[in-house]
Amino acid sequence: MRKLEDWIDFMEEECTPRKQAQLKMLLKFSFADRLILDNLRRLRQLIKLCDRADAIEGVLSQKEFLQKSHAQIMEKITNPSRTCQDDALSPERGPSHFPETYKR
Amino acid sequence: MEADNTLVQKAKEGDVSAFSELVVRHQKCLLRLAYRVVGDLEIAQDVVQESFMKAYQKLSGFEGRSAFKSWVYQITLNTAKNKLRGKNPELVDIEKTQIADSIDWVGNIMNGDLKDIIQIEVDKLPLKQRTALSLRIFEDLSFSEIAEVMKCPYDTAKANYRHALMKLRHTLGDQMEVRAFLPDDMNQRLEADA
Repeated sequence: MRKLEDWIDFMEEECTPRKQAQLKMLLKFSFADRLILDNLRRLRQLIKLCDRADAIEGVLSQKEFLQKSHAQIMEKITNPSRTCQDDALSPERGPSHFPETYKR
Repeated sequence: MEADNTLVQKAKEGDVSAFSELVVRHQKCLLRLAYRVVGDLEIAQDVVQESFMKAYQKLSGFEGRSAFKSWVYQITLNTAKNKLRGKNPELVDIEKTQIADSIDWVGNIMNGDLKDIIQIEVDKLPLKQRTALSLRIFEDLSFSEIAEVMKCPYDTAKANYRHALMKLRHTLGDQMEVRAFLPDDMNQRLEADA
């Protein structure tokens, strides 16, 4: 059986072509190694499915939210002395350099 | 579509709309990134605002040796970590933060809390390992990009990722029965071999 590190590199396509070929060959004959690799792949998939940031995906998909957030960032950049209260920009008061992508 | 580097160059020359376009391109990813660190949307918004401000102020010093994306990720990560320290003094030593180990694994799995378990285990990783893991798995960054964001050598970025994955495999694999993740045909094969 190969070291776990080797299989992580294999999974991430970080091996040299020679090593990649060696490990591929090994997979044909070693069930234990196939199992290790399969477990690693599943673990990776599981972790990906458990992204904490998924909780805010609904908000991030709202155009208005991104527009407002963008406007606030640009306002701070172009007018850094403004107070927090001033940050509550209405879309109508958005900066003149508001990108076309949000105007649609 | 103009490349980030072109927009950076234009922004350096005073074109605010070019920087505005960079904000449009990266704000969503940065909000996710910041949220993963601070766990609060409002704070994440503050972090991203502050990060873009810092990026804009330091733009003249950005020489383009790394991608703009990596650079602004790096600023955001550092800002998020600082914000977390400021808001939660009890979390100052976030590298060593530990969450209770005594989890009823089987019970939790039966209750469908697998997602929570994995998130808890990811949170328990040392910050560098967690960062490498997040950037690789959630952001799909290459190890070169991760090294740029984490300001570390390529091999270190890779080692952090490997250690994170190995730890999670050890914890989750040992305690939750690896077979729970396996397809039925593989479980049958395992039983046949045994």
